Parts: sequence; structure tokens; C-alpha cells
Amino acid sequence: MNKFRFAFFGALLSLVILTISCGTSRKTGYSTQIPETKTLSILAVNDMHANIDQFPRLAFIADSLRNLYPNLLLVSAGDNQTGNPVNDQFPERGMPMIELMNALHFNLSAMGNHEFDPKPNALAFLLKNADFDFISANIHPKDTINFPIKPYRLVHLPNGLTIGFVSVIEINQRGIPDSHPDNLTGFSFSNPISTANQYLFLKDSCDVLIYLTHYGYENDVKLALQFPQDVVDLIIGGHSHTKIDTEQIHNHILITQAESRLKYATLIQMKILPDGSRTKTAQLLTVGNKGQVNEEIAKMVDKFNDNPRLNTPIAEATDDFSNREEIGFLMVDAMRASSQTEIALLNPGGVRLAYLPKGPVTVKDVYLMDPFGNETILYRLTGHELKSLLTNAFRFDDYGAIIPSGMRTRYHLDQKGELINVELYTDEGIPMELNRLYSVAMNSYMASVYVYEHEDPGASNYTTTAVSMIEFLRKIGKIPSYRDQQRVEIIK
Amino acid sequence: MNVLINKTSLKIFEGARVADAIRLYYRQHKKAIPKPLPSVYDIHGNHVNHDGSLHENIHLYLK
Repeated sequence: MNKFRFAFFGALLSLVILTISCGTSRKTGYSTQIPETKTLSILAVNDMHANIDQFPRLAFIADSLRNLYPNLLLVSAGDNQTGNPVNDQFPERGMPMIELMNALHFNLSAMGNHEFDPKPNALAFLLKNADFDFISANIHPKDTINFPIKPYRLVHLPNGLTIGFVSVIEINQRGIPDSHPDNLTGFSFSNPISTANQYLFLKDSCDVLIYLTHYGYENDVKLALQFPQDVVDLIIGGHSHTKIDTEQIHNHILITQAESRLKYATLIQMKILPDGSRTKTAQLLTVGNKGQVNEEIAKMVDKFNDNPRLNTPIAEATDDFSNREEIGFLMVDAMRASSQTEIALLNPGGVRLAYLPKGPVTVKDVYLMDPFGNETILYRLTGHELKSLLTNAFRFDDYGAIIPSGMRTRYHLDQKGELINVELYTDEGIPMELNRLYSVAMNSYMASVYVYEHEDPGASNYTTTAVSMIEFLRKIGKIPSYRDQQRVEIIK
Repeated sequence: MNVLINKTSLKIFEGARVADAIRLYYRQHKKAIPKPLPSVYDIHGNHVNHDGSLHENIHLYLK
């Protein structure tokens, strides 16, 4: 046994990139007296974003730590979902992540904003099939049967410790988490901080009180600073994808977060001494995908990755698409249809496939056309603002014109090729009203690189343009020909 | 949503990620957007990934 432990410690040391020795020793005002020193070990991850390829490695680390610390708790601070087509396009969307988290014996997960991405019915299915609980105190489902999201959970360990976990999720300025509003039908949300404070009473029922949040690191600090002293022991956070590899204690509360996509996990250890005082340490462990793995989990991941659905036709192109412009027309039409705006715009660099043959189109084809993971951003822009955008974009994109849907454009260049003017027309060839407001969709890359005058700052619909296109193609089935279409005219 | 990159206040769309704010920062300063994007840190000195979420008035630093 000793030999095994020695060997394991050697392996574990290679995983540890930094140790945060918080070394806080204090007496709590609330803790019950425990006659002997007891330990709590937690392996925490956050924002995994369906990066299933790291699971065999995470499983190996969890298995190894369980050999050392049999009471180890494995928890996620939310955003388990979204970010990998193998998971996101699975027939039961999101199930690969749930099955893998079940197989690794996760104890608990916070609800992250991306947990809502699969849409309410699919979310209910995922919650039903998870062997672990999802918690969030400021998410209030109307239907608590199908959405059994509890505000907190008490975990009783075999060593006699009772651990209280409470969770809150970030709410944006519209009063909802960052997800498509349609995905949030049937839920209401309350203020994270005031809600978090309502559950401090749990300290009377547990030895250690932990906030497992999906609130962002800076917000976690604000949360910690406003708590009464010596009530909350830890905040295990997510959402901001912050890599915490230095000591972060605020108001005696240790705050952790392990960046994202399972590059890292945090091993948290607490010792609760007989007098109620406690020490806390956190170690950021490298997960990655190199090193020893759990073979059974690796087989599960291989099976998910060998997903024929990604190569199954979702629509049929009735004609060849022989250049980027034609493919761009299809992509921007899909964006406009799915966002239900009057106009959609696509930057010329946003089309990454130059040829799409007549015949079946698969999910994989869509990700080849649009591999960036950009989301759709919605605006209300005047004709003047649109004109300003198109002018700026033409120069920024080295004289490549924006690909429009729902409108036509005519660029006038001088003898040197410099842009003189852009004219905007409706699809029927009528000049657009420059003082009118138009609903406009574009991708998040365009929304961040084109600097132009506009009142509306815009808002994401929290759906990637690729996912929107997949849904659009499934709906239309037959893709019409875009051969010889002309929406942009450049006149020298 | 307003965010701060170094000492520059930026108005950016709701739901923007760290990478979006960095790109806008360079564009507002009329500078080329570097590839790869630079490392980003929060006010506590922690590294923040480019795909991290932003919130109102978050303050980030580029190195």
C-alpha cells in the first residue's frame, strides 16, 4: 500500500502545476464541535463545454484521487454543455456529456447558462437522466417535476462531515442568464447576491458551506466580500473561464476556478480541526489529453466520436455551389431566416468552404463552411448606420464586400479603386430608406471588428451561426440553386 | 454592455466574449488585431481565457 501511495504521489506531483497554500487557520462562529480532525477533498471543474475528449484523462485523475481520498467529491460549476458538435448534434442533444459525467460519478453540478442551450424539453430529458443533482438558487422553474433544480444540496460524508452546496447563476441586464430567450421559457430568475444571502442559514446545518457558482470570478469576489465573516468557506466558480493559479482569498473565503474545457481541474482540500478551526488548500491540476487515461471512459468517448449522425445528410443541394460567394449567400440566408430579421450580413472571410457539390449536405459540411463558433448578434440599425457599417467593412476587409441577405448593395469606386459611395437597395431594387430602422443580424466577429456609428449596442441570441444553419437546412430539406445570383455590384 | 480593457471603456454587444472585447479594443485604437490575440488578465491578476464570458463593467488587462 505504502509503495503504491509513493508511486501515486510521484504521478500526482507531475500533474500539479501550482499549489495554493492558503494556510488559513481560524475559528468559525457557526461550526459544530467535531471531536477529531476531518478532511474534505473536492475535485472541481467548470465550463467543460462538452469537451468530451478530455474525459478519459479526467477520469484517470478522479480515480487516482479517490484511491487517496475515498470521500472525494467531484463537482462542476456549470456550462457542461455546448461547444462540441459530437455532443451538441447528438440525437438526444447533450446526452454524451451526461452519460460521461454519470460514468465519472459526478456528485453535483451548478446550472450554467449553457445548460439551457438544448431547449426546455431536451433539458428536462438531461436532468432526468443525470445521476447527480443540478443546483441553482436563483433559477425558479414553474415546472419543478420536469426541472428538479434545487437551490442547494447537503452532502453527508462517511467521515461525519456535512457539506452544504448552494449555487447561483449570473443574470444579464435583461434579467436572464446568457441563453436564447426561447430556451428560458418556463423559468424565472432572481438576483444572485440577494438570493445567495438567503441560504446562509444552511451553515447551522452543515460543517462546511460552499457556494458552487456560475457567476464569473469578479462577481464571486463581490459575493465573498459581502458575506458575513466566517460563514462561507469556499466559492467554486465558473463562467468567466478564469485560471486561478495563485492564492485567492477574499473575506477569508477561498475562491477557485479552473479556466475552461477541462484544461485544468482544481483539487480543494480542507481540514476541520477538533476546535472547529480549518485549513484550506487548492491545487490546479493539469487535465489536458496527454498522460494516463481511464480506458473504459476512453472507449465511451471513442463511441461518441464515431457518430454517424455527423455524416448523415441533413439537406440536399439541388445544384453545385462553385465559389465562396454562392456558399456565403446560403449561409447568410440561413442566418436571416433563423434570426427572423429583415437583413443579415456576412463578412467575406466568414465563408471557409469554396465548393459544395450538388447532393447531400451533412452537419460536417456546415462546420467546414463555418468553423468559428461565432454567435448571431441582433441589432436595430438605421439605413444610415447600415451604410456606415458597409463602408467601414469594405475598407477593413481589403475591399471585399459584405455578403447581404434581404438587401442588395452597389459600391462605387474611383479610378484608384478607393471607395466613393455605397448604395443600398431592397431585394426588389428600390433604394432603402436611410432614416428607417431595420432589424439586422450578423456574426459576433463582425460585431466586434467593424467600428461604425450605431446607437444599438446589439445583443447575442446565444446561438452559434453554425447551429442556426443546421436547423435551417433541416427545415428546408432541398437547397435551391444560387448559381449566377448577384446581390453585390462593384462599379469602377 | 460596457467593459474596460486597460484604460479604454468599450461599448459592446450583450453576450460578448473576451475575444470580442479585445478585437474591439484594437479596432477602436485603429491598430491591427494581433494574431494570436494577446493574453488577458482580470483585476486580480488571473489569466482569463479568450472564450470567457463578460459582464457589465468588467475590467480586463492585456499584456
